[in-house]
Amino acid sequence: MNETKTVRDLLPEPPPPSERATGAAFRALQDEIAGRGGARRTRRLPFGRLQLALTGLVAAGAAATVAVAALGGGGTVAPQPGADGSARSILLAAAEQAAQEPEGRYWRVQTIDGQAYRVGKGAGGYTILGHQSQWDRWTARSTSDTDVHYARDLGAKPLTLADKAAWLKAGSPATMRVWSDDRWTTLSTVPGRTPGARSGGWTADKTDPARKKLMNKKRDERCARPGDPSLRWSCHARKQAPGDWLHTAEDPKQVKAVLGTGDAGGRLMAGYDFLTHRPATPKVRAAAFRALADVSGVRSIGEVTDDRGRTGIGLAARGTAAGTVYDYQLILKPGTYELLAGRRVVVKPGGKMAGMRPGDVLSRELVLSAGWTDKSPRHP
Amino acid sequence: MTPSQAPGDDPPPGDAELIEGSRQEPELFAELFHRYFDEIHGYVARRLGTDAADDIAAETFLAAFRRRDRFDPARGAVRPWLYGIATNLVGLHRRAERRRYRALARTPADGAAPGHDDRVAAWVTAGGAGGELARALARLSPGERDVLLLIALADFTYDEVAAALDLKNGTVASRLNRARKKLREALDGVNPMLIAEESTA
Repeated sequence: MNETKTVRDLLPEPPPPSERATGAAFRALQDEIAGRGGARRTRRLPFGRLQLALTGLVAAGAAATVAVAALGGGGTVAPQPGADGSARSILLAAAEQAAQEPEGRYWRVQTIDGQAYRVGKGAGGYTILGHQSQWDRWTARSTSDTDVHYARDLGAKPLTLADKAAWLKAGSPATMRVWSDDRWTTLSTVPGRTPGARSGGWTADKTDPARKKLMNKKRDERCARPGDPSLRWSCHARKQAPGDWLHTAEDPKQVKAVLGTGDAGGRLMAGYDFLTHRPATPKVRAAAFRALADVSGVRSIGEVTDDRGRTGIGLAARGTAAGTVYDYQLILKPGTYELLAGRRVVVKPGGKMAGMRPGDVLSRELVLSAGWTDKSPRHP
Repeated sequence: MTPSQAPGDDPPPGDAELIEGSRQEPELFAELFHRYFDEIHGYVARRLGTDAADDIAAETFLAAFRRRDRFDPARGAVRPWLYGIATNLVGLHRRAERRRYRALARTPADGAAPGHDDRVAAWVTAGGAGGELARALARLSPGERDVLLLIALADFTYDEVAAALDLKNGTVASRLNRARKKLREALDGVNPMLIAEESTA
């Protein structure tokens, strides 16, 4: 094979990757594994958040992604100090409502998530919503039913009308190179073309009962055999993981632990993620709302509009991540207290997100529908 | 071609077993990074240079982790699967790759641009035919280039290339033939003697 050998010689073996490159790549992977992946794109998140949105992983940790948004409408970003009695009453009302919801075979949640990235510097720059996926997740209550998570990538889009104008002015680029925390990555407006994104058409991730059983068995076996240091950590992490839904979802007492020990913003976020993504019983969901009602620092911010134009009851809590102060906002549907959206809004940029501006939405997840159903998973 | 998969005993878990396990226990995936990061980085660096490889090799493992639910052991081993992901990511930088080969193609006399020394070295090791070869490489279709480079750089069999790129074996064979033919023509046009010497070296 002369040609292939000549090609090999033309492109000589490079030196091994630098320690810095290897370290950065491994940290990125670890963040992703810990569920902080999508978040890491714009900033590091407090431990415990689960990037369910991007991984579609049932067994993963706890919270989901946060996200962006406020097209136009936007929430109140100005600080409103102190815990707010009305936030507590709203959450207690939501708990009452949740306790009465019917239970079914599948917890089905339809969402659209996304992460905000800044393209370009200064006046010509704009914010783009990348890694936007639409999800339809059917998570079975029973281990003898198959979980099916459908998803598709929606492609990157300018976040607001002003961003769209700047993007058009920049020549409506189909791909954009953006800085994501500690490295460059490329976003594409074409669904499915962003590296690492899902395909643009709907695809399904399935976890069938046999696999659930097999995985549980294998895990237990591995954990019973503490000889392998690479496994010891994972078994330990499992034991420590407060968000292990298989147990938590059955045990209202553990719901508090799901919220973690972080600041109010982090706890509100974890609560949102749990309530949106975990197949918990009505009892447990009610307990989760009550646990949130006990978090001091959660305040009512009045009417808020999400980026689908839906107006709801806004709750917010202050948090800090990677030097940036943010508000985590929940939007609840008036009357039913269903969750409409969760998002993170910059209050005081700093650290790695120093380039963001107050009011910028870092990430958001819109809930199109969530609830128990007795139907079988079907493609949207 | 499938790595041995010990049935849950003392030996370290096989690649496919790690992926399977990582669906429930995501941390297990880190082990695959330790096994393959350097190799994938090297492959991408040869196609796009070290800087791009830092990004793309990292991105490869993130993408692989996110897609681990879709890894199907029936369709091939983990290593080709990872190369396939890396190759697709390289494919997003086609222009940069062609630019790189064209830069390699410039004769050493072209002057002291950055990477000049590398270029000279590549030229010399490629038996003086580096210029034509690099130009021909830039002219291959992306599909031909992917197949050729997986075979040349990753030492893949046809089966592995087929698994990596999700192609039929026949397609792999025909693309490789076309690619080799094009390179041969380019090389023959220059200096067949040098090639012959090189091949026995």
